[in-house]
This record gives sequence, structure tokens and C-alpha cells, in this order.
Amino acid sequence: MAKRLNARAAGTGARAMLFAHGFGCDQNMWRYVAPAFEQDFQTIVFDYVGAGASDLTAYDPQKYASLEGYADDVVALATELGISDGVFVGHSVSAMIGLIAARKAPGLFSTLILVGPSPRYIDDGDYVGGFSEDQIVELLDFLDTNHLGWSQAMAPTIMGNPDRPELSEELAASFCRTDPEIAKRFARTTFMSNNRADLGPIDARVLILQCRDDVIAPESVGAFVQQSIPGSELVLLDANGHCPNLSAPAETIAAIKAFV
Amino acid sequence: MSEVEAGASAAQREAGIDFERLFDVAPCGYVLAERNGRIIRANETFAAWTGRPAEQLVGKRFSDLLSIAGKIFYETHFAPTLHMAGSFNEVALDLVDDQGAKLPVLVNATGGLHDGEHVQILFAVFRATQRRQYEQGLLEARDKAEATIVSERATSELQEQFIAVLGHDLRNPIASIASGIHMLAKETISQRGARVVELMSGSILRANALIDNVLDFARGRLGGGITLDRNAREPLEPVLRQVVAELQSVYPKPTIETRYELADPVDCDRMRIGQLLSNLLGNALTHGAKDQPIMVDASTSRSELVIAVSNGGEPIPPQVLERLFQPFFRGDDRVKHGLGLGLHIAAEIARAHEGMLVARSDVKATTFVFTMPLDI
Amino acid sequence: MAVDRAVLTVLVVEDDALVRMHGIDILEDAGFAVLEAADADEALVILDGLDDVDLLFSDVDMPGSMSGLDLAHVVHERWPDMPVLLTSGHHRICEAQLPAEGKFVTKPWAQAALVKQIRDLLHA
Repeated sequence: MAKRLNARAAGTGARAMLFAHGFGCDQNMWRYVAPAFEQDFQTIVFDYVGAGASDLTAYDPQKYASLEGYADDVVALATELGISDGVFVGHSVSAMIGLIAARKAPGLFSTLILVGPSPRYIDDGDYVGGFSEDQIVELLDFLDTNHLGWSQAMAPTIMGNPDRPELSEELAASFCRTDPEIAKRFARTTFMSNNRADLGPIDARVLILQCRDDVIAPESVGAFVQQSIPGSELVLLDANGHCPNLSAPAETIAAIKAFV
Repeated sequence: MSEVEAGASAAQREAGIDFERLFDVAPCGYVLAERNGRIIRANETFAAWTGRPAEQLVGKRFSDLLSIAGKIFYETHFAPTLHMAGSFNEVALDLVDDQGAKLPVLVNATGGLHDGEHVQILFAVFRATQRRQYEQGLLEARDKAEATIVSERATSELQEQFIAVLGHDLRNPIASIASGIHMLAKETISQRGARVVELMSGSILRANALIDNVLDFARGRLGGGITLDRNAREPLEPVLRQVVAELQSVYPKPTIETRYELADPVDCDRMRIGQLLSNLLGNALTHGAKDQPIMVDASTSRSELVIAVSNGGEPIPPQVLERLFQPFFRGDDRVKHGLGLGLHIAAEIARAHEGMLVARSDVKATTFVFTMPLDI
Repeated sequence: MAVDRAVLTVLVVEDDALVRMHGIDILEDAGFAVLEAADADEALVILDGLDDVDLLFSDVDMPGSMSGLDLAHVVHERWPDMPVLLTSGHHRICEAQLPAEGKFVTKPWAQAALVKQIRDLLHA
């Protein structure tokens, strides 16, 4: 499983810290955050099947039509690596994947860090997910027509970047590349998901990191998650947008460090 | 206007370039934004596309002006990549104007500008309506083509199954007639009657060969391939002799001369090799000169089995020779009998035995040679 | 093993009348006594009633309660010494599918080869 998910471990620590990327890119989303924990933890980053450098041939549309499939992989990976009493850091849809995984195999993770979580993106009655059903349908239609060019053709040709010399050309060229078919399906799985039932009491310490101006996981949703998990904490980061792990790594690191 | 400003403007006027104006009326949209996407300044062109004055755009997020899909894509792909790699080019997005109408655009962005210590993003936005339509058209054409292929494949499979069933079902009545003819031949019958029976025999033989070939072909197309039932115990020569005898009785001319030097056993499917010889011989009898004998030569050496069939007559031109073993290929001679499957099936039988079938033709003779490795 | 009789008896089982006649013809010409049945059920009635059938020569595809192959197995169970020769224009039955003492010949028949095959089976 570790090989299939392109898992990389680093650091020296008794306790394991597993970083899970969300919808969009791959384990590189954590490159500014994970290293900060290498002193005290054994950090592990990985790519879900279908993302990054994972084994694309292992992608099974039926399995990954729901977040359960992804959660199974997380459980399998954690078990294979012998994780127990570990920390799970999940970004975006990974936050819910982590919750599902933690419920499936209670001994694996004793701490859950949910970055920009949302249990459901589509509004439902009183619940405000942030998107109407029409909007999500529009999104999925858009993907079906490949309109955004979420295809290999559209992956940018990066000519090297003086602002980020530590970034190898290879990484730059491969960052955020996903098989377009799989990307479409992952989008469907993510945005049509309804995992409010997976909130609720859980035998683990839970931290929610919320950003401002996050179109995908707005503040009201973060609050909802916090209220639904008794004993959980919510920290409002001084960061905008949906990816504080990239746009505000220092704040993200600080918030996590204060909690673990 | 201060002296500096006057000087600057003068310099500009002298050079003839008003950069401020250029920025605003450029044939593409320019948007300068903070690192978090909030617009600092947008040019007139871009503002016009959004249906709002440029001043109104200041402070909005770039992603606010995109469709839902664009907003999500911005957060999950665009912004992270800008952070990581510093630029992101050729992104196809939809701008949404103040009426809600969508404008397809292509966006290049670079996140490497500096204003003091702040990093800013510069977006260059290009209209892409026609391009998008063109792409749509291409995608639709491709989908249609793919659908057509699928449906044609299905039809083709149905046709081939039909052929297989037909061939299969035809065997019974043909076998029945063959038996009947055999017994009629034993009745007391006039000379003419005997001749009729003989001719009917020939027809049935041809019909059988035809069905065999058609069935093999249909099975091959449906993925079956030529199946072999190898047997190294039974002798091959009697089978070959029978084939020659049967065909000679149907086609008394030209004479078929034979030479057999087969050291049995030969590990092969005798029926199939018989079928191969029958197809080659049938071909020679149909197309060869009627006044020159046909030679059938079958021999084994230590390492291989060789069966050669030669006939006289017009040489086969090279371009025809090339295509001889293709299914349904009948050369220029539509008049001559046959579906054009016989040689193709013979070649497939050769292949199934790990051997090969080659043809050569000149003024002296046309010869088909089948070679097959002996085991090992 | 055949009983040492002067004339050996073959039971021909074939549903097509012309083909059956043909088979009978070939066998009678070769000196055998021939019984006939149009399908497996008829064949079993005959076999039950007599005890001097020496060989079963049967088609594979026949209407009725069982195919020639099934018949061959039933016959072998009940009359283990009786050799069976199956024939077909459609199927190719390989040795593994046949009962012991069973052989297969394809249609159309080469007369001499067919007779030889039957003689070989009877004198084995």
C-alpha cells in the first residue's frame, strides 16, 4: 500500500504524523508544513490513488466512488506502517476521509487535524454547505466537457522559477498533474459527498483549522463541524483561501504545533 | 504637473509610448492582484468583459469573477500552483459578467512580481470564445466517431455471428445430400445419371470447403482463431492423398501429379493440413492453365514439413501477389469462383502450425509453398 | 473385447435419415451386420433388448434426451466392454471427453478409414 500511494516517510519521532492532501493536487501540498514536524514526529506524506505519483492502475471507479474507498486506503496504509496513536492531518476532503478512517480503525489515530473540512458541499435545508445543487451540477458538467482543460494538455509548462529555486523543474512540471478522468471522478465523489453522519463524538482529539475567504469550506461550515464534534477545537487562521498549507504555512504549522 | 512628472511625460511623448494607456487598452485583460487574489488594479479591457467599471473590481477576488467551476479550480489548482511554481499558463476558464453571462477565456498568470516585499500576481486574460467553440466541436466529433466505432463493431460482430450460425446450420443438409449422392451412385443408373451424380459430388465437395472456410473465417474474426487438434500418431499421407483424389475427380483436368516423401509421424492437425492442401489445390485448379499439370509435392526433412503446389498459366502480377492472402481478396478475376477466403484460411492454418505460406509466380509456374517446423 | 463371432454387429445411431443410410451402407459393404436407431433413446431400447451388439457408432448432436457423447458414457457404464465410435461434422471430441475404449472420427467420412477404425476397435 505504501508503494501504491507513493508514501514518503521522514523524521525521527516515536509518534507518527500522517499528512493527507485534499482534492486538487498531491502530497506536495504539504512541502512547507510537514518538514517542520520532522524533529518530533515521524512524518508521512502520500498520494491518494489517482493523484500525484500513486499507482494509477490501482484506480477502481467503484471503490473510489465514495470516500469510504479512500478511507480504506488510509487505514491500510496506517496499518501497514504500524501506526498507532498517531496524528492525522487532513486537508479539504481528506478531513472527512480521516474521520471515516478513524472510526473504521479506532486505534490508529488519537489526534485529528482537519484543515478546511466540509462534510457536505451542497446546501441541504438548513444546512449551508456553500453550494447549491445546480452549482455542483454545473461544476460536474463543466468537468465532463473538459472545459477547464483539466487535462494533461493544460498542465503548465514551467520554465523554472527564480522565486522558488529549491523547486526542481521536474517537480514543477509534475505538480498538480492528475489523470483527467480520475480527476473528474474524484471531483464527483468529493462534491457530491454527504458525510454529516461521520461527524459526532469520536474518541480522539480534534482540531479544525479554518481560513477566511474560503469559498470551498466557508467559516459557517467550519463552525458546523466544530459544533458537531464534541470537544473539538476550532482555530481561525490568519490566512485566505482554501490552502493555508501553501499560502500560510507558518500559521498552519504554529496552529498544529500548539495542539499536538 | 511636477518637473519630474513633466519630464517623465515628455520622455514618454518623445518616445511616443504612453504605457499607462497601453496597459488599459491592451488587446488582452490585465489584472494585478495581491498574493491572496484580491484585485489591486484591472485594465479597461478586462473591466469591460466583466461588465463593471475597473474601479469597482478593486478589492474583489479574481476568483469572484469566475464561474463556480472556475472558483473551485482556482482554490484547488490555480492558486496552489502559483504558489509552488510561480506561474500557471493556458488555463481555460469562464468569466462571469454582471448579467451572469459567461465569457470563455484563456488565462496566463505569474506570481513573481514584487512590490517591495509583497508578492503580487499578474493575470493576462485572453478571449477564447471561438477557440472554445472549436474545441467543443472537436470533442463532439470525437465522441460521435467513438460512438460510431462502437456501434459498427457491434454490428460487425452480429454479422459474423450470423455467418457462423449459418455455416454451422448448413453443414447438416449438405452432409445429408452428400450421403444421398453416395447411395444414389450405387443404384442402377444410366450413364448420364452417373455423370450427374459425379457432378453433384463435386458441387458438394466445393460447398463443404466453402462452409469450412467461411466458418473458420467467422470464428477467427470473433476471436477464436484457427484451433488445432494436433496428433502425432496418425499418418498424414492418406489424408493428403484423399484430398488430391477428391479434387481430381471433380476437376479431371489438368492432371495432378504428386510426390510424397513423408516420414511419419508428423505432429500436426491432419484435417487442417488437408484443408490447407485442398484450398491450395482448389486455387491451382481454378486459376491455373488447364493444359499444364499441377504438381503437388509433400515431404519431410529432419526439421520441417514442406508442401508445395504448383500450377502453370499466367503469372500473378506482384501487386496481386502481395495481397493474395488477405481475406476476400479475389484479384482481378471476379469471374473465377470463390469468396477469396481459401488462401487466407490456408495462411492462417500455416500460422497456427507455426509455419508459413509463401507464393511466387513467374511465366514458368506459380507455386505456393507451405513450410512448418517439425518438433522439437 | 468382441465375442468371437463370424459376423459382428454394429449399432448405428444417427438422426438424419440419409446420413444414417449412408453409414449403414458403408458398414454392410464392409461385412458387418447393422442395427439402426434415430436417437439415443431408441438406441438404449435396442441395447437393452439384445446382447450381441459389438460396437456403438453414434452421431453426437441428436434430438432426444441425450447427446451421443452422453450415450457413449451411459453405454460404457452399462456395457464396459463395448467399444464406442463417435462421429460429428460440427464438434471435435477429444480423447479426454470420451469414455475408455472410445474413439472419434470427423464427418465427412473417408470410407476406408472409417471401416479400418471400426475394425481396429473391435479387435483391440
